[in-house]
Amino acid sequence: MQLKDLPKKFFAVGRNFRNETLDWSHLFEFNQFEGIVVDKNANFRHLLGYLKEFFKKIGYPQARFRPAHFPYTEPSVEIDVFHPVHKKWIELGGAGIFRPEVVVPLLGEWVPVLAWGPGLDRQLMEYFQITDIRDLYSNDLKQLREIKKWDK
Amino acid sequence: MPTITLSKSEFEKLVGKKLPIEQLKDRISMLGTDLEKIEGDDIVVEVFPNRPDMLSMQGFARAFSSFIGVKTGLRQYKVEKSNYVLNIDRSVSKVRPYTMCAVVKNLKFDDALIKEIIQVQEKLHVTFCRNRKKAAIGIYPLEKIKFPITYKALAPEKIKFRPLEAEKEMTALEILQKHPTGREFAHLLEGKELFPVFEDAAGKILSMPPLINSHETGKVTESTKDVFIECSGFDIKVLSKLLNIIVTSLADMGGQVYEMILNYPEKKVLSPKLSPEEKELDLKFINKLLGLELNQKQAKELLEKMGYGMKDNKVLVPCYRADIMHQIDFAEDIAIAYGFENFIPEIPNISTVGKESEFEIFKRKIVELLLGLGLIEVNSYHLTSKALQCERMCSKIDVIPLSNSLNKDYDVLRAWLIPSHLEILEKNKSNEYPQNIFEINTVFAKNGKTETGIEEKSKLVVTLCSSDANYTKIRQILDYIFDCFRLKFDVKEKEHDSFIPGRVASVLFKNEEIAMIGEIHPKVLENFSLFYPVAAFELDMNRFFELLKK
Repeated sequence: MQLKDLPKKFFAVGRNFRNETLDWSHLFEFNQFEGIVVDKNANFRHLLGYLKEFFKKIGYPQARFRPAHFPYTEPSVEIDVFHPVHKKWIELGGAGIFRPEVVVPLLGEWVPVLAWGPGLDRQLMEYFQITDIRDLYSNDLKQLREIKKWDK
Repeated sequence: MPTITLSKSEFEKLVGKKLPIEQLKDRISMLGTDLEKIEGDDIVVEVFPNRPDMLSMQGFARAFSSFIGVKTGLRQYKVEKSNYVLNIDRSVSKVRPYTMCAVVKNLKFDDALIKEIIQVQEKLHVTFCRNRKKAAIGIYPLEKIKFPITYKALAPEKIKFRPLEAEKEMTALEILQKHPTGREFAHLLEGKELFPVFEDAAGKILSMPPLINSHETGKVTESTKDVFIECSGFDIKVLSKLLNIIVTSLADMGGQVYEMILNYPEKKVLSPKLSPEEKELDLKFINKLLGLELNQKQAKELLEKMGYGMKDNKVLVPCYRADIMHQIDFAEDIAIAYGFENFIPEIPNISTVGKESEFEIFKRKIVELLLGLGLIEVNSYHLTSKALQCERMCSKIDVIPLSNSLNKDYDVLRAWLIPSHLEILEKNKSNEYPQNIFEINTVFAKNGKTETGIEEKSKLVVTLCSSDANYTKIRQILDYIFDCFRLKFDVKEKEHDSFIPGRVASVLFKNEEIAMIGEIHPKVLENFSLFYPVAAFELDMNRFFELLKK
């Protein structure tokens, strides 16, 4: 990607890996959806704008943002959404603006890059009423044949 | 990321204000620390790695008090002059070259304070000091020490003292082998011919960093009023920051800080230096990045809420802040002071045309075709075991091992998908047949030409398991897919240990092998306790897609 191609926006839905021991709430593989916006005029309010709109569209009209810390972003944000059914705030993932140490080696100069990467798996578990995260990968054919279709 | 537990009542005293509990929870979160819970008199918070200065109750209260507006601006720390001298001998230069030190007097050590100091020291050791590798801290009762102190390195045989909590004197090697702390950190002195020690003017060994203090001279008790502190390690800037963090906490506890004279072989250094660092503020950059229009006065007020001072256009960065490297670090603190909840989110007018990746669309079309045939899509793990990939498949394929997996059964990257499917069939023996499954997912192979040395490939695997599963049936599925795209392929018989000889082939498309297809060998079926025949193909989706587009 060249600077002259900006602005650019990308998204990805993919598998991440983390060295965890397997148990009912931890897996070494999980899914995240990621978005990045590369634009000379991008700013912090835009990041919050995208996030708010995005979470509204996936069914959480109330979202709030807290300061967080990730080594590669500054400012860093933690996103909480208000669960309409459980009636409480749940933590959904992180976002931020990439630090110059990350951007400059890749683009040659500083350009604000907005980035976010919340997780999907918890939503899936809730919708399908799965309480053990390992069941997402059990590939039980009876379960797969009888499970309700995703309809949101 | 370290968690600290504070006493709520003590904390509120230090902050200088008592907030109602819901507001306290909210403000702690909006300062930039993860509040875990408030239970009774305990506040449990997670402090992020960029704020080691908040690992002590004093440091946390100092930051919080500023943030809620009780005591804003730069804290001034006074350093008294003294005649306390520490000499650094050349012998440490190849072992553990630097130390920064201070003396703090007039402390009132009760049981709670001693616990607090030890806790802060340990948390700093584990985080900022990287498990003592980068730096280590030693705290000593001043009355037990005769100045000047010497920091030097000696041959292990020449070192003998009674380490903390030991019954008697031990030599350096005995400490490394027998003392619990010595054993834990012995690796930090591995390969060194000389070991570093702090020795006082009476010839007594105060400690052997980064391992352990002496029991006689290195143990702080309730009668201690004055302390000597040293930080030893490999980078003088890091050691200064570390010392500043501890010394300012002690000063906040009521202590008086005294400057020491450190005589390095090349120069004299005065320590500690608690004056702030001056940095220019680029308000234009910060306003652009945050989407705000703050003027100089507003920026000053916000920075003061975060513990900074301001003089003309220069920000005065407190001596205990270790994370300020760039204007964006000021931007984040200004944003926190402004309140993340006060930013008005805005979708910008950035016009770009969006689309999905062609390969993703292609994969989805194939998935839809197969669903139309009545097959069930499955999803298996990328991590697996060598037993599953090779031994149970009667195959000798190369797999890439993980160096530090926490799960014994998931310690290699899979090279092919068919084994995962046989495992799925094995788990589903009690369910109805036929069991016809498919998946498009990633496999891994070594490739010296890529940046990571590994190449990821997308493969389509279709597996049929039923009383009448055979080559014809699996071939029909492949035929159907190719027919839908109006394409043709050829087959060429091949040899493969996991398949029945004579019933396994390569699939050639535009003269390239892009898949293998066949009936699984009964020996392999036995390894998975399967009673019905299995026929499968595994196809290289990346290559298929590339060739299709040509």
